[in-house]
Amino acid sequence: MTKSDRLFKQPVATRASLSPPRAWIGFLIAAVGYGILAFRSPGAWGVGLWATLALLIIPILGGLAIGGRGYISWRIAACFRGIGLPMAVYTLIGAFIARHRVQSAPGSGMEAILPITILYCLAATVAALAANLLRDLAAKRQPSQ
Amino acid sequence: MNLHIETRSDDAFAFYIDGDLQFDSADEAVYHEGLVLPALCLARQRAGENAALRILICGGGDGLALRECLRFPHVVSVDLVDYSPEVVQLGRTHFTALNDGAFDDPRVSVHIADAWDYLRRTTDRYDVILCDFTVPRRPEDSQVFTREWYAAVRSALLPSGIAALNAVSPQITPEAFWCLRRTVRASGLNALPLAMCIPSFRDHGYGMWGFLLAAPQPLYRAHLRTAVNDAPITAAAVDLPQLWRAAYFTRHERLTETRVPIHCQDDLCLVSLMLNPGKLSGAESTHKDGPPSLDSLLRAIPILHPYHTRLMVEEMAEQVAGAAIRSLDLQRLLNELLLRADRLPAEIRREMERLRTYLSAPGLPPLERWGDWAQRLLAALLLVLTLANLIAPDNAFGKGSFGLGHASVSRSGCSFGRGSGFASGGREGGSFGGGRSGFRSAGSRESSGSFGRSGSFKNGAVSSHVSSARAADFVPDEPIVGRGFRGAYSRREPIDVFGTAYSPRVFYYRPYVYGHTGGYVSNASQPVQEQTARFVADDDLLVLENGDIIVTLSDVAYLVVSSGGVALMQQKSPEPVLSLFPDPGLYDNIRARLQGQITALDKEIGYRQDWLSWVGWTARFSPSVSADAQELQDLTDLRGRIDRALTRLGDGPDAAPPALPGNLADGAIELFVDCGLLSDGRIALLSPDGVYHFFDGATWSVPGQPAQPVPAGLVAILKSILPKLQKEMEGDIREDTNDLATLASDRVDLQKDLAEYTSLASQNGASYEVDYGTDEISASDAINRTNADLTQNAQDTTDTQKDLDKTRGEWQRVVQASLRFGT
Repeated sequence: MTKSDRLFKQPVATRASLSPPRAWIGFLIAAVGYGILAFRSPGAWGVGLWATLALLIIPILGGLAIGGRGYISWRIAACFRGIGLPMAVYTLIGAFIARHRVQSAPGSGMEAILPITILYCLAATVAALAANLLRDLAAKRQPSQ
Repeated sequence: MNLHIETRSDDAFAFYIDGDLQFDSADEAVYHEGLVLPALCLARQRAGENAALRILICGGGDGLALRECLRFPHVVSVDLVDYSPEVVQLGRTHFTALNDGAFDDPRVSVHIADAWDYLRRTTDRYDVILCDFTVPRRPEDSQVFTREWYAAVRSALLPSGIAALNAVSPQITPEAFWCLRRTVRASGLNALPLAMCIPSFRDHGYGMWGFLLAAPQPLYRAHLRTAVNDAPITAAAVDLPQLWRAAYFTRHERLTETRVPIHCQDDLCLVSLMLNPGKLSGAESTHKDGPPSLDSLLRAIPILHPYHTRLMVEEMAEQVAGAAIRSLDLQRLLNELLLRADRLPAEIRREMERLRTYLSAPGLPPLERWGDWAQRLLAALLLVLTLANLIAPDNAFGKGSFGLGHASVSRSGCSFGRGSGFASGGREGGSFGGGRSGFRSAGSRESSGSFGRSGSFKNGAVSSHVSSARAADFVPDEPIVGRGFRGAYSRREPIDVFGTAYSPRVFYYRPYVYGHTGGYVSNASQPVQEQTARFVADDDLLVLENGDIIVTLSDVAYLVVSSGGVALMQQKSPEPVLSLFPDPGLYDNIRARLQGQITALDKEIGYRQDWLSWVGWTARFSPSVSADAQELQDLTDLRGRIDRALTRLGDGPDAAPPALPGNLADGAIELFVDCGLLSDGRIALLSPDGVYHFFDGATWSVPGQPAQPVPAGLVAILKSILPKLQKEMEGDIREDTNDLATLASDRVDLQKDLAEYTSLASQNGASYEVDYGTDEISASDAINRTNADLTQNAQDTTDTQKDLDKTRGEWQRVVQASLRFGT
């Protein structure tokens, strides 16, 4: 098996061992976390705390819930589904609410909201991927049973 | 039905019904061959080459379509149904040469009847049905173009039969043409459209003319091509082998069918589509190259009668609206409207004031601006009427009360500004641009009103006023909707807290030093400074570039309120006319207003900070986000400016202004802060040292001291203020008079209602259900409520009459003062 095979091909056994409910648990954790986060804007939370919560704590919790030892290609997909989607919804709702209050320039909202939603999604995916890798590293350091 | 034959010198003639060209003898063959030959060729092909064809012609009393049918040797019978004996008679006589005596053919049966009735009655089935009806000009004439009619045609056709239908122009009225095709298809028939050029039709402005071939079986252009190429006859006027090409329409043309409705008895839309071609094409964009024009509005008016044309609508608008607008004294109209504008929303008042400013500016505004105003005005009126109708249809159409039982809207007590309703609610806090309440005797209402009145003149009753002026009362409810913070503020134009930009206004005066008792001390060594208004805190309250606060009194007079002092200024002079007592009530009012607006700004700043915390980092590549950031910056700057203005404003003295000596306070009318019109006709002004000065039009004096020179400019200021006050009072008087008339009318209605309820109760018992507005309640309840309404009506009448009497008395005094001061 070549390196690329190891990286991107998904072993059947791994797929079987990671059941869909675990991904949905990750989704649930992320949805609740971002739901709480969405009550206030990043500025109101404080940028440092917001970034820690949005890009580290919530993705780590979600990633731990998703777990798995699959290859990167699978994890990216799983993390995107588990973390990126709530992040996108959170960003959309939060930004829409914030923009809705600013009424002096109708129409400029969507122009900005869509690109940043995509960017936040990508950031969330990267953050979730990093969280999963951390989880794998931690698992490797544990003595085998 | 009006029949007309127009004969020309070459013996050709044209036949008109109700002014519509039916045919011209020069080219009628094109029309009738186009209508008849394709249908008969197809029918012959489908029925078999030697089959006998039975034909029904609906309409076509001129016999010309009949002539074309009879040319086919396979035709064994033709039933012609026309409801007009006159037309058929013309066909039998005047048109005989043209129709080759078709009515004499033994195969022909003529029925003078309504086509609908004939089809209902007949049990015959036909190979070909020709619908040669006159194009309808009224919706009720279009029954023979409905889906139901075509369904009847279908049931009268043999399965292999063909129907040929006279349609309308696919070129001039495409929506109507494709509506017909859609209608035919909706009846269960297949339909093939044809378009032909008939010269006489084209010359009459009808454009290319259209027909429809319809059949229960599938019908394609290929069928038509085969059939006409195999025709047993030769056409006289059309190129028969090429006739199938008439069925070609572009995809764009055919797509029109997807946008049109079906013409059915429940929705007789055909005539409307014919009279208003292009209306389905959606709203035209008229905003691309500037402000919208009135043309788009005129085009939106539907044509509802066949004898109305678009040109007539435009000419009507030009003659009626144009002439009226040209003869209108818009400036005067606006002034009068503004006198009555107390109850209008603030935004509309501001728009009207902006229009007045435009009108009073030198030179005429650009023409596009007028279109823009008219568009806004009409749109606003339509919206208001629509919303009013949705919310309270009875009120919008003057049919009754707002949820009460009678035709009274006045008895709720809120229409006359007596404290509890919306008309007066906004004035309770004492708006600077207030309205009529402030023009009454200053002591009668705790309101500062217009002209910078503190409400404390005459009796020194400051304490209650001070306690009532709280910043929370002046926090604007509306959000920032104007775009002034996205450019106008940076251009140093004055702007209000809603983001509305105003015309620049500049004040010239010399730097000064204030003191509570010393008043204004001008620094003569300093040059006169030009100060631009940057913030419009209220209609007549401005914050200048340097933080000074201006209270405008009239076009020529204003107050500078700053550093703990108040100076009365004349627009033309850099020096103050007078220093005035720094009334704590005025200070408190100004402070409360500015602090209320700071609260609103803080809220808006917070919103923008929240928004930009999400997207601020995209400002570099997103112009809209960049504009949002600019807006935040401007808002923050303005907030700081108002803060500085409050600091610069300083504090007035804690002491209340001294009361007028003796009984002079009785009946005094406050003109502006520290200035009032006394009952003896003199003007009293309170100087910074707390001493009242009196001016009777000739002398300026303090009791017990010799007369002093009249301050320069004071007369000019009074001349500008008194007429303004007088006009506003006249508006009040008219309003009160109208209110009284309404109350009287309401009273009559209530008494009638009461008599009716009483009569019903006596006849049917107290529990008998009666209509009470939109409710049904017992007669006894209705009587009780009506009695309560009558009591309220009497109270309202008394109060209004009292107000009116008082205003009239004050108005007379103001008029006399105006005369005394030479206005």
